[in-house]
Amino acid sequence: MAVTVLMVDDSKLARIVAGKAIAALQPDWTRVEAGNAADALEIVGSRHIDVAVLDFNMPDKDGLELAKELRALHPNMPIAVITANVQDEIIAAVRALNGTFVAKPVTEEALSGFIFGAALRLRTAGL
Amino acid sequence: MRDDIVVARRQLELALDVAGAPCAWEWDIRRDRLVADARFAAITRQDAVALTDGTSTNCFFNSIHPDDLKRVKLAVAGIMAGSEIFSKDYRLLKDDGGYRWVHANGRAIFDEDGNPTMFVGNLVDVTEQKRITEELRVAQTAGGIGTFEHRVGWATITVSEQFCRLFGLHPARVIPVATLNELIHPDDRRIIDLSFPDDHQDVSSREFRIRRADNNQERWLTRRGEYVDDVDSAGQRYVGVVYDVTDARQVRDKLQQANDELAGIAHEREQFIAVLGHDLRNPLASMSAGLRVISKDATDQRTTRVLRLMGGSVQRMSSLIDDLLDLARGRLGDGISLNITKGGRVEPLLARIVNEILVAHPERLIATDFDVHRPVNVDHARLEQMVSNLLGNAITHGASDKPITLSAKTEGDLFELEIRNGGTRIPEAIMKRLFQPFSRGEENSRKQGLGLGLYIASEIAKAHGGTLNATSDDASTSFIFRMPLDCQ
Amino acid sequence: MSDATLTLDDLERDALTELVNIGVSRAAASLRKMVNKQVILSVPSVEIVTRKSAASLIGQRENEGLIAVHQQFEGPFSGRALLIFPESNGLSLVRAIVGDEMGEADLADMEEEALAETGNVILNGCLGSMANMLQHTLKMSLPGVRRGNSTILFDVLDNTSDQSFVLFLYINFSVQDRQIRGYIAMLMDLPSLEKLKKLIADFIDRVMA
Repeated sequence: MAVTVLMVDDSKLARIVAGKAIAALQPDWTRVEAGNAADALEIVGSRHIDVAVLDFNMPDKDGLELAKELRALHPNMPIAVITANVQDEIIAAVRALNGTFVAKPVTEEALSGFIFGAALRLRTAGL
Repeated sequence: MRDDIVVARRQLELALDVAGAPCAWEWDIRRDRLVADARFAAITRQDAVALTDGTSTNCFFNSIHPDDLKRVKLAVAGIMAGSEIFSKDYRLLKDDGGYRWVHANGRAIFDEDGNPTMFVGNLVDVTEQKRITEELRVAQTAGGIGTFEHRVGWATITVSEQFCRLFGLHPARVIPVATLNELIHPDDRRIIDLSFPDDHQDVSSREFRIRRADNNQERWLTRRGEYVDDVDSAGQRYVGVVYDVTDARQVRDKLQQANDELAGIAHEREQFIAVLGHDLRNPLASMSAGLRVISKDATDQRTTRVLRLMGGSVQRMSSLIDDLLDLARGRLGDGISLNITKGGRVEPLLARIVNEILVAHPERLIATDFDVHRPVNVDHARLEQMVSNLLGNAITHGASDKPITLSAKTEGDLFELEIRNGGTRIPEAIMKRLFQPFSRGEENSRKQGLGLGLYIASEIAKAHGGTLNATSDDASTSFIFRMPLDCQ
Repeated sequence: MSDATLTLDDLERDALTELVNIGVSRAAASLRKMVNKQVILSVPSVEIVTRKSAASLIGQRENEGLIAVHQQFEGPFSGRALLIFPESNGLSLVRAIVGDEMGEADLADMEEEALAETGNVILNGCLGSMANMLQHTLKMSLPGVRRGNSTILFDVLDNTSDQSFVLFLYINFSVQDRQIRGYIAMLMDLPSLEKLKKLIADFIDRVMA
């Protein structure tokens, strides 16, 4: 079954950059985009999402809060929080949610660890 | 430590001091081991053998001057925390209780997660360099010289404090090139022209105007720069100096202005002389004609004698006026005009001049020596003017008991005429001004003329495409006129 | 305000410079990854000046309009971080980041957002690493983009006057491409500076331990 990845970032540029990197790593994956947390939750409620890549810095609800809510809904979903904010406290908070911290700027290399890890987990779970 | 090792290390240290060579280190951050070469061991007073295997970093910190230790530790902490570049000057203790200044350059190597794993770099003794740099800095400040360095292809430029001061900018090491260019007068060349496709700036010095950033004052600066190869990047750097030339320019401009004014005054004066000379000729001519008429009717001896004297005076006035007019022609640019006789011989003319002079000065001896095989195309009247003037000088200024010689010859394509008289050496100061108008041989000379004779003679030489030169020694003085034979 | 709060001694200045070095090294690494070109940084300048002279330090060098991406930070010390570059550099920077595939029109549409995102990456990286070194957390606002001359860039902090003193840290950066260059700057008001001095002292103690 095809994998669907949800990318949430208020910056269109950031979504383009992340989308390019994911497409290069997993060309078969379906990519879905949301510009804020509310839209993201609506998408998650309406269709099947396998992997979530969230921006930390967003107006209204930040990526960490969104991750918390998604985790409650999907305890096993691979979730990455992307941020340029490299402070130890943020990294610890992401890890506490069983999420993956990815530092900006997003490159193929920076995302590859998370994306291949997620693919592996999904395959294992699917068996 | 064994004595012989201490001695060997001392010797090595001495040798290194002379060479000033950099030494290298590698700091394995995970193992907290420092590996370095023998030079590093010597300069930091460590055991060279142990260092090639790796030692605790404490040994290194122990070699640092206590006053600099905290600064170095801070910078090292920066590297451990992700700083890319380490660049510090600090003091290392020496065995004799003194210290040396070193400059350390290093860089961290990061693993995939962005954590530093190795810290590598080199260390170089800069004690002497520091002293020179300080001297240079003082000299630059005193001399008002700013320095700059531009790495080809970059929008920023590295500058000295004095450089910023010249532009009225707050001191900074790095400033945008565009900032400087904006301060330069729009009609003048940019200090670094970023639009040059190959970034090739002028290597010659260049003056330009700026508007100082602090007080809006206009100043003239000079920039001088050259390209040097950049060892780090294999690219090129354009390095140079800038200094203020406003005051120098002002002096130069004033001097130029004063010169122009003087030249103007001189020109006006010469024009005045030309007009005056011309206007004096006519009344003089009528006086001369009048004298001739009266002379015919004069009967008594006394009147005849007075009239002859008057005639001589009129003659003399007329020749003074001719001289003045020749001067004016020479100075006003058109030069002396010639009326060349082609294919004529000059020997009879020269012989006649000599005879005329001998009639007036029977007591003197003038020897001639002609060796002329080709026709000489000259203005005969002008040549006569020149030769009689030179012979007249020889008689007036030369030793009266020595003969004067006049020789003329053609040799190759040259006609050469020499007039030599015996006598003492002409002083250097007079020699220098000999051919200038209004110069006279002797201060108290009441003898004829305005001091224009030699000037006019040299102008005549010039008009013939030739030269007139003088040489003088303890025994004799000689004037030589040379002209090319093919002269029109 | 006592004199002590207005000055940093040599060691504190060294430590602060080192902290900024750590921060901007991270920022430069980010920028390098984004534009895929060499980036060089100057040594940080640390000055305690009035807000007005902070503006003129940059202003006297910049005749054209500027773009600044700014972020507020709050925590044990607070202030404003700015990524500043000449207005004409804006599109070149975005172009360098997104690559050549995108059309001119899309690029222009996206300029503002791309600048905010770039500023966010650079400033967060810089402040985040500094905060980590000081072992404290800073809360950072979302980035905003402003255009104007240097005075506009600095006058948005609270309602403090032009004459109030600030700690002004700035470095020049330059991308190997003769067009792109700019500044990373930080402004902190003086009550923050006092707290910062305390944190710096702790940092020095940890380093010397």
